[in-house]
Amino acid sequence: MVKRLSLDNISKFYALVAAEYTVYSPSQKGGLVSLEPKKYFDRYSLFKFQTIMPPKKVLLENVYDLESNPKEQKLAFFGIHLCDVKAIATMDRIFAKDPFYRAKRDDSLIVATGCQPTESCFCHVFGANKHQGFDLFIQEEHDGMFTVFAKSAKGVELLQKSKGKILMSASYQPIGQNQNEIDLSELTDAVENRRLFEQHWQGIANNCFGCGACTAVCPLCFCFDTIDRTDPEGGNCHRSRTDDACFFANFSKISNHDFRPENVDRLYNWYHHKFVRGPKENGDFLCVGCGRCITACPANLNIIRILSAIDNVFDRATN
Amino acid sequence: MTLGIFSLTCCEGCQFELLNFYDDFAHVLNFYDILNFSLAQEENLPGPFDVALVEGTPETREELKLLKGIRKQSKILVTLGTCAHLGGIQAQRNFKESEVKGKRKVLPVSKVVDIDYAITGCPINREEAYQTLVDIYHGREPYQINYPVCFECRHNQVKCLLKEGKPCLGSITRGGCNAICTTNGFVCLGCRGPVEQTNLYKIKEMLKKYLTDKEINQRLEIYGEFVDNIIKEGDRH
Amino acid sequence: MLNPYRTIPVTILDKKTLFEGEVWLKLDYRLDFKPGQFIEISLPGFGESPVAPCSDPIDNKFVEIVVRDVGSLTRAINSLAVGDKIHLRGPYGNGWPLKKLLHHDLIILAGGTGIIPLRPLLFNIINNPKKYGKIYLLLGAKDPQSHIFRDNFAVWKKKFFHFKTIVDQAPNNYLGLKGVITDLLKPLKLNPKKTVALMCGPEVMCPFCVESLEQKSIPSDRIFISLERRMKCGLGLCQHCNCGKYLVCQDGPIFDWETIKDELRR
Repeated sequence: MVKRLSLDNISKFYALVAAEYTVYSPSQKGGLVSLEPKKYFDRYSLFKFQTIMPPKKVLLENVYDLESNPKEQKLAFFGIHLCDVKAIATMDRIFAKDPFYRAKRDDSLIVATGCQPTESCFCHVFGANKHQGFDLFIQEEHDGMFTVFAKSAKGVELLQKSKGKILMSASYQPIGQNQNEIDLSELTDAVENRRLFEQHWQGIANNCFGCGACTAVCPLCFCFDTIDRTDPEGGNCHRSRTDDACFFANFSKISNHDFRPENVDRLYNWYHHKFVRGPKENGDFLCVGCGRCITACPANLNIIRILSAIDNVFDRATN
Repeated sequence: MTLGIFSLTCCEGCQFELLNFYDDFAHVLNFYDILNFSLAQEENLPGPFDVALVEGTPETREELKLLKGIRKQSKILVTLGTCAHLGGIQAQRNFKESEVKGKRKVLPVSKVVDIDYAITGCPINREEAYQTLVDIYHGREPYQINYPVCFECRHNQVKCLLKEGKPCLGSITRGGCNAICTTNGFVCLGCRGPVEQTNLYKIKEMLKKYLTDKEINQRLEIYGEFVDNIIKEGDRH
Repeated sequence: MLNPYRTIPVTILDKKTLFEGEVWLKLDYRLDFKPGQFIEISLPGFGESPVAPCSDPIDNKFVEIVVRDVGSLTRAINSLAVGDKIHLRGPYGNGWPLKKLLHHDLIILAGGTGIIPLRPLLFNIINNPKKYGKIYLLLGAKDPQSHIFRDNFAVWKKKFFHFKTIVDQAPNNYLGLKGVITDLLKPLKLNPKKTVALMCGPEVMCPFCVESLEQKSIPSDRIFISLERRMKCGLGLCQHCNCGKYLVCQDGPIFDWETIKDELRR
């Protein structure tokens, strides 16, 4: 079902969604745009640029008590972009067994929107610019009107309640893309072959703090740690789940041995997980090309340049 | 269990931070009897203590004697704050030998006596201190955060200050402060000390864009005894 | 949806100190597991740790585990008394490939506490002697005291075709063999066509053992190794335990050498 809505009706439609769901939407906070729960539609709700954190921030929130029963929630993500939608689809497969993820995700609603590419994004490389995986898609037209596409039963039901003219046919505008290109055909082979690029990896590691900022903002980074804590008040024990990152020293240390002692081992492991182990386990790269890690990195590392360089070295080594 | 809270040379801000929210501190008192806390109570006992918290650096002969006495009287000694952990502001004297003559070097507590755990920060994160005390009470290893401030900063949804051209030390500084400075737009000054296995060469290179060599070294002085290693590491590459 | 992180409190029925800092616990819980699988044990407030059950998987009225004192959790478990409760969940992992072992000679190599995940398999072998060929069991340890399950040695000596132990360091009056485990392996004559090797121990031991097994023409896809990693969740989610392309808690902890040799070097 497709409807044509005015800006006023989009705002009313937002209220419709907010009546049923807890809506997370891009919001302005201190001069930055982040994903926050918001009851009312404003000009940031359909923001064309990325929020600093992906929806994973909400879906994989720290769990206070891991042994408790998760509370089912009705969440809606309003105005997220297609790269994040694809990341959620991949995450659904990985976390299918996790009750805390499912409690948030099972009844959730995804309202996606179009975006403008920034200099650091490269979603087309991973096919993350395809119009799929959402419940509703809001497309801004040149005349200031909005076309709303409903893809799922949940979406259709909501859209039916909204005012607006039903369109018999409408088409998606292609998502804009920039010049960033990575050749994926040999990427897995190239990343898998660490020995060949030892110098290359060491060079990157020398320029990396190992701070995990990239993992914090990556929509497909989901390492976690479980920590037992006691509340000073009352003295109750609980096992909580907190964010972790494979960049931290001691991440894979056991009592007498550290399996990834150097930063280069951990950095390599990150790329290996994203481009070798991820595809093997889930059939998809653990990267959607959102470019958030490039924006977040304090050391100015650039995943596009790193991967293209590996591709180039690999080409030279194999041909 | 019994607890002693001591202060050597410092601003005593960490002790105040412990008392800042008295209701929370009162929960910790369910587990501990405070035998010595001269900031908050009049009658104080010399020990023995199950746990002693020490803030500040030993400057005078009396303080050195006091510190060694505390060590002998306590089963577990925990340092409180940046001064006790790294030397703090007074340790900058160590780097200005030409200006301040005839003074002894400022030593952090760990250089004088063995310590068991360190609660770092200027001032400390009181939740972390309470958690450490509760963990020690239950015989557990206190959970020590070993990731940089950057990780918490990014989780707080703010932009990288280093990228914006501000000399922020968040990328090499131990987190656990919930990135309180950087989230509010101030650069990280590194009060919690360096994180394990960090890239010191890179931070010097990054800061060079905004600061002179002298300024960089001054900024890194907060790391106290580690700063020599930092400067050496930086030159090695 | 069942919460896979939920643990089950179980009572400690019996406790024995095997060696300084190593205790054996018998837990009142019926656990269906395959030899070589692991469980997560925990105490509220102290975190979780993966251990392999070492009891007979057929006679599964109780679970037995061995806990070595290495961290605050294991230290706390060591100080528990009979009647106290500890928490567990599991089992996780794949276990030894029992189908591939049928009617084969087995050479079993264990270093130190590496015998723990192998012991359920040894029970299985003793219970079904006709299913297997000749059994060679070689145990290495740091010193004579660190051989655990010494009570079982007499039975193993009787039931198995070849049983030898060796230690690294020993007092002068020690009557057994001194050296490394490969010293026991080298003189053996094995039938490369029908032998399967199983090993568990410190990871430095394995390449040496594999080298001498390969000299005996045992193909690397018939050498199985049990890996130790930091399996934090056991569900394949937390990513702490990966070894190259594989997640040890899901694809392992038992791997054949052909699969894992490149990953170990990564």
